[in-house]
Order: sequence, then structure tokens, then C-alpha cells
Amino acid sequence: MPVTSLLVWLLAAFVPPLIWPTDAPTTPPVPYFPTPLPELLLSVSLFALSHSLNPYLFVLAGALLPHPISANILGTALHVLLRNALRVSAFPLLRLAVPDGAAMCRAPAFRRLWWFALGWSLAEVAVGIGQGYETLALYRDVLVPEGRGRELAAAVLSTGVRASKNGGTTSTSPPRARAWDLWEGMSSRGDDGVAVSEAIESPVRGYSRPRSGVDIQLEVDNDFDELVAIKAREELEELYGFPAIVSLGIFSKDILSL
Amino acid sequence: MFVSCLLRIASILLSLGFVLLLSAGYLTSPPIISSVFGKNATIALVPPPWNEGTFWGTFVAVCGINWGLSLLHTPVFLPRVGVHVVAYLGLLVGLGALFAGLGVWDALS
Repeated sequence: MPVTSLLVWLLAAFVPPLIWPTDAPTTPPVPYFPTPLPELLLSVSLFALSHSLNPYLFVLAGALLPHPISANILGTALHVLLRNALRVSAFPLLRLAVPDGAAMCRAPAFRRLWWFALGWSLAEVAVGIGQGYETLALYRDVLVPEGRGRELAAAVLSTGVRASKNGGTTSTSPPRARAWDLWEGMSSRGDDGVAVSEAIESPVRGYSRPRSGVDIQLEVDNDFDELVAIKAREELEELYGFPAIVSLGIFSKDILSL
Repeated sequence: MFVSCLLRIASILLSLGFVLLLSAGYLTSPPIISSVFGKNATIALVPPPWNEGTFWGTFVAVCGINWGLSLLHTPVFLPRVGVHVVAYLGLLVGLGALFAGLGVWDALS
């Protein structure tokens, strides 16, 4: 994801000068600060401002309107207004002007605006990629190790086929839960006994006999972390309507094979 | 992965398109010539006066489109619409905005 975004960004950065030649500016606007730098710096900082004010705008909207949906709509409206107002305020800050008041792509202002927009999108994409990796980090504990995925998928498929042959209707538990049970089963059939006891015993994962107070503390901490991760995943899945990581992966394969 | 790449590309296109549209609206609105310290100077007001139809029209249109797309990303609408629809819609609107911006800047001929 970062590589693709970076490639598209670089393409957007370096192709336009080849397509649209601009007149060389007669006087550089700021002689000691060559042109892409002020634009990139300004756009990144304006984006950062709007991004960091975002939660407060939603809090304000929530205070003004009691209903969550209308508060959400108002918060989004405030955020969008702020963003576009900041974008517009950048034009006089950069002292942009076009000859004869006509927007022509040959004007040097066009190139500077292009850089400004690219800087804005660079910051936006960086934030998006960061959020994507936060999502992935939520799933770190429950990922199937490489190499076991095929085995697990085969097991799920075979039980699915069996279930549909048996009753016409599949079992009530969702496929993901069944897959998870299978994975738990597979890991508890593990190579040595250690995995078995760990997988079965722990309040979240089962219940084990800790040796000392430190162990108890550690165990409680681990379980608490796991609960927090489960809750976060659940919220995310409610938002997307499906488990984010699994479906996005499968979806990408489907699309690429078209 | 594919969908998240699509979302990132859409955000690049949207940003380019919106900035080009807004700047065209802003820069083509006639500047105000005013006398500052005895010299005639061009003043760019922010925000421009309310009778600047070009600028305010563009601003309201861009804000409206941006608002619609941002609403689809909120937890209220995202589960009903689906991430894939939001990503494709964002890409389409982004392409539209980019080419509208290029057209306004006279870059397509």
C-alpha cells in the first residue's frame, strides 16, 4: 500500500511538467526558498492543523446537537468547511497570481498550486497509511502463521461441505467462528504439550495456574490487552460490516484476477 | 489492500482536483485596486467579497462534494454503503474533480 501510493504520488509529481510546459517565472517569488519547498511545507502544516482540530469539531457538534447522527453530519460539515477555508487561505499566503486574471496552465502559479495539492495529499495519504497499519496491528495476535493458512482453509472448506451435505442449512455459527475454533483445535493439537495448555487455559484464552504474584499481574495484563484488542476489532468490523483484514485480502485477489 | 490503495489514490486525485478548482475560482475573481500610502496596490481579500459569484460558487460546490464524500466515511453511513462503494465513488469523483480542475485551468486543450 505505501509503495503503490508513493508511485502514484511520484507519477503525479513528475509527469505534469512534461505535459504542460510553463513559462519560466521572471522573478522567483521567494529567492532563497526554491519553489516546491514552501508549497509542500505550507500544505502539510495546514493539513496537520485541520487534522488535529478534527476531533474538537466533532465534540463541538456533539455539544450543539443532541442526536448523534445529526451531530455527525454537522461535525463533518464543519470539518469540510475548515479544510477548504484553509486551502483557500493558502493562495494569498503563497502570493499566487495569474497574469490578466485568467487561469492558464502556462502560468507559474499552476505549477506551484500543483505542488501545494501534492503536499496536501502526501500528508493525507501518510495519515491514511498510518491508520491502515493500526488496523493491521489490531489483528496481529489472531493472524494465522504463514504456511498454516492453506491447511486451515482446507479444513474450513471440508467442514463447510460436510455441513451443507448434512442438513441443507449450515451450522448457526458464522464461518469465522468456525474457522477460529478449527485454528484453536489445530494449535492445541500442537507439536508439544506447551501449546495445548496455553491455548485451552486462560480466562480469555483459558485459565492457568500462575506461580507468583508477578505472573498473575502479567497474566491479567495480557488478558486485558487481548480484551481491548477484541473490542477494537469488533468496533472496526461493525464499521466495515466484515472483518477488515480477511475480506480486504480476499477482495483484492478477486479483483486482480478479473 | 486493494481497497485501501484505491482510497489513497482517490485522496490524491481529490486533493489535486479541489485545489485546482478552488484556486481557479479565487485567482480569476477580479482583484481590488486600492490606494495604499498613495500608491495603487492590488489587494486580494480573504474571504473575497460576497458578490464574487465565481469564487463563492466554486467554494460552495467543492465544499458540498467534499461533504458528501466525507459523510460516507463516517460511522453513520459507512456500514450501510460499504467500503468498496465508498472507495470506487471516491475514485470516480476524484477523477472528475481533477479533470474539471484541469479544464478550468485550460490544460486539456
